[in-house]
Amino acid sequence: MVDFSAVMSMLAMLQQNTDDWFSWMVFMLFMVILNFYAGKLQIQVWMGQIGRALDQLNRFRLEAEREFVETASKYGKEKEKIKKALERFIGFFMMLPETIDPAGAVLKLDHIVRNREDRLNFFIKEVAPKSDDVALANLRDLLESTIALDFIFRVVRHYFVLGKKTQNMIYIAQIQMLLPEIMRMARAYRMAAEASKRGLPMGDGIGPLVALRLIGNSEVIDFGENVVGAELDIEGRRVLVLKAKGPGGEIGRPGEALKRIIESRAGNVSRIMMIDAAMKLEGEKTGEIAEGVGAAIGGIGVEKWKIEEVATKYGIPLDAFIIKEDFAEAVAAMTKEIASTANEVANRVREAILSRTSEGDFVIVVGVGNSAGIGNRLEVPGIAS
Amino acid sequence: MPAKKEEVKISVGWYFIWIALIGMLTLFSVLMIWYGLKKGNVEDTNSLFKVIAGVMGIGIAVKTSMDLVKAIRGIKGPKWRYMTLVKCVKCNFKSEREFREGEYVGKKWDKPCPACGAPMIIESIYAKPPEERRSLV
Repeated sequence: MVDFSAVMSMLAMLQQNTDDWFSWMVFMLFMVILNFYAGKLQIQVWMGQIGRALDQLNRFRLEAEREFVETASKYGKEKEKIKKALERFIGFFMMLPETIDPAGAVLKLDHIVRNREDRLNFFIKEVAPKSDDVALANLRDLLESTIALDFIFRVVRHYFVLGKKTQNMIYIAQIQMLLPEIMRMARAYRMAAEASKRGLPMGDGIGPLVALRLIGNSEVIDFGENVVGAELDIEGRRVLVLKAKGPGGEIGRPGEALKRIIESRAGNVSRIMMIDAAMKLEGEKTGEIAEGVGAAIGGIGVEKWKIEEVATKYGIPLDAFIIKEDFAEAVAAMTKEIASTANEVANRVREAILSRTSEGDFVIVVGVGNSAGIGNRLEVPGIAS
Repeated sequence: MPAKKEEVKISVGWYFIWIALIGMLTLFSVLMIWYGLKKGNVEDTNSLFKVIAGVMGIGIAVKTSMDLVKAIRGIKGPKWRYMTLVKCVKCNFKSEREFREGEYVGKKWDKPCPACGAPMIIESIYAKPPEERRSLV
């Protein structure tokens, strides 16, 4: 609250011997208006900020939609038809399973996640019938970014309209305060759409990139579930390196593939080493490498659960290597800072294999993440892995 | 769905109002300073008050202009460049160039190494941030 007496006495001191009563009246009027309407003015300032952010979000989503239509139209369907199909599909959602009875919740979740992926693939095949596996995966990633941008826009618009209708400071304040984070996420998805459109590696692809560095030009085997791998010999250790199938934007199902491989070997695996991008804390350097234990894999949790289940069943130790990035860096195109850590991580994994296992041991290394823009092996003969 | 028919547009009206207000504030502040200094007697409290108010007004105008520039930059967004780093498998010669669609890490490069003639592979593909500009903002 404004302390009128203090302000008036201060001004009286400044205005000694002044008989300008009109200026005084204007000043008093201004103070009264400010006293009663300061809150309203604050609301208007915030609404202006939200409105401008909304403009930008609208532009992001429309640009992403336009890019999806343009990219999909290269694969056999007219733009108008794709645009109409996208308008119907843009609100696509996934209902999480009920967990009042938690038994079997992961299996239900797995079923729904598969369902979702099938529906997305089906939609892509519908709008881009001539797309191959790589184009389909990249288009699916582009579609997911477009859906995310549309959703962010809808949420911010909801609070904007609600605030406008009710003039309630709380509705407006909460969205205004979250605005920097929302815009950061939206920019990240916008950049992710750009990366998917061009088939660029994403920050999240550091896991598969390290796996590729380890694989070199060794022959790769398809393990199904969009997972490929190669068996290497590292100083007498048999090392199976797995990654999502590239160079399309696949993340595969490493949990399922790992489970099958371990079961087929009746649990005869000495160690599992996982490499993934992980969220950094503010102040930490992008590309910082950290080592730990556990299943280094993000996502909704199904794959992590499968890995933990099979590792626990056979008592296999789990090593984790993480490369620190923030959310925006993980979903957008990979930066030089992140890409340049791949060789160092690959060396650390090699060192860990040599120091933690013995000759004759069987080790599984999993490069977790999106394989967009990352091949399955080096396509030139004569390169040692 | 009418929302889908919208074109990509930015509401420029707000920015015009913003610029007009900054202009008015600057003009008013300059006038205040001028009237304050006109008497040539800064020890007079009225004149001092006007000079202080004018300086404060200019300060607010500068801060608001900086916010405006930031907002406009935010709309345009930074322009990232996507680069491909190719490496010779024999002599480790490296070359960086603009990314072209269809390229991926591990792919054999279509030209041999200019240094030794051996095949080259795509070592990495990455985004380069926009060049830092010297600016007051």
